[in-house]
Order: sequence, then structure tokens, then C-alpha cells
Amino acid sequence: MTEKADILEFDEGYEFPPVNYDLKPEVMRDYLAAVSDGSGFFAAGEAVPPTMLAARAMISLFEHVSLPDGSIHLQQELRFLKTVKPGDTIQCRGRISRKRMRGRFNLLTVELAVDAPDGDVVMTGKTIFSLPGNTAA
Amino acid sequence: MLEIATLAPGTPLPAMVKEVRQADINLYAEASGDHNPIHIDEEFARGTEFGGTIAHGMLVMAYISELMTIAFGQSWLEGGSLDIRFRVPARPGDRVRVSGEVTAVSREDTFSVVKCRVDCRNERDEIIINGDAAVRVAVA
Repeated sequence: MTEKADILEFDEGYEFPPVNYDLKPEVMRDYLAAVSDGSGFFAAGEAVPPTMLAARAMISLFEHVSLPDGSIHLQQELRFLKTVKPGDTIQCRGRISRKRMRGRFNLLTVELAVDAPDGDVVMTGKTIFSLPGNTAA
Repeated sequence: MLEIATLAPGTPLPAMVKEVRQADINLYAEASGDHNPIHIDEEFARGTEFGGTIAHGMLVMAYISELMTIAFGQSWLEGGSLDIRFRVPARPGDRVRVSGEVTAVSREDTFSVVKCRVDCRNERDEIIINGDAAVRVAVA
């Protein structure tokens, strides 16, 4: 198994390798059960919950990069532009847009985007993490 | 869904209560791909500052999105935005009250923009997450 690189090794502007993800209907069903979704809006299978896209987008970024122990998810911005359906394949993209020290912690801002199969952007977002350590750029 | 024409600052969104269960956290880990042991490994989590497992922040954030979906339907899925902060973790056994209220409504010829304040609180009234949501709604 390939060891993951520490995210703090990367500078502002670093772009994560894009990752494709298949939105399997059975995984969506598990997701809806896990968040005990009672909206009924996704039962017909016409759309995937946008927060599931956000969760998958964030995790996909860290397939090859690790966050150090003690990292904290501080803030999350999301913008939903379009829906995708179960069975679609999305592409998740991300880049480190900001990296700053605050005390003994690094504040890392990662911009996210999810593309639909037709190339349209379906979701964008910004995630701010606090990471322990004193090795900021 | 809410009737947009009737919304004004102070209008409450339909609140709901969610119970956080370890089984749901485990299922969320599978569905999201986030297998951080702080969420699913009780023995590991006991040795951390949290003293036990905690729910994924994004799991609790999904409660907010459900609230907005119920209130605004498809408009939320294709024209919604969220800006939230994670304050304290949600833990297994917590009952989370999910609520919000309209803070502003701007009406244009073909659409309205509704801004809301949203939050999730535990039984001790601690804010788990809070922030702002906005949705662009086409005028029928």
C-alpha cells in the first residue's frame, strides 16, 4: 500500500488529482439511512442529496493525502448548482487555496468542486481545517 | 414546502429533532468513505480529547440540508448555499434539534432570494453547528 503524503507538504495552489466517483444507488440508500433523511425528496431516485456529494468530494481529495491526527474541520461552505442522479459518475476536484499559521496550528482552506457527467459544475465549496503542527509554508 | 410569498424576516423554518446513534455514524462512515477512527472506534476515541466517538460534522450538516430541502424543495438542490461552522461535536445518544429562521427576503421579477439563519443544538442547548443558508427560488 502506498503511503499517503502529509497535506502540510503541499503549498497554496496545490491541485489534488481529480477523482471520479460512481454514485451507486445502494450507497445512496445507506447515506439516507445514516442521516435519517425524512424529507422523502430522494426516495424516487431522481436526485442525490447534495451533502452526499460534498462528503464524497472531500473524502476523495484525501485518497492520496493524509491529514495529521488532531485535525479539526472548522468551517464548511457549499453551493448547490444542479442535481445529479444515482448511477451517475461525478468528478471531484480540489485545491489548497490558503494556508496560514495561527499559533501552533495551521489553518488550511481547500476549495472543492464536483462536476456532472456532462461537465457541468454541480457543487462548489470551501472547507477550512485546523491542523496541528508548526511546519506551515 | 414553504410559501415564498408569505416569508418575512423572523419566519421560522419547520424544526425537527434527530437522534444521533452509533449505528448511524458507522453507516455514514461506510456511505461517505470517512473512516476516521474518532467516529467509529470506541477504544481509540476514548483515548482522545473527546473521550468517546463523535459524529461526523458532515453528518450533522446533512440535517440542516434536510431542513432546507423540506422548506424549499428543488430550489434548495439547485440554488442553495450554506456557510456553517462546527462548534461542538455531536455524540451518540445526543438528541439534536435542527432549526432555522428567515433573516431576509429579496424579491426580483423572476426569482426571490431567501436568507436564513440555521443551527443544530444538543439537549444542553450547546450549538453543534450554526451558520447561514440562502436559496434562490424562481417565481412561478
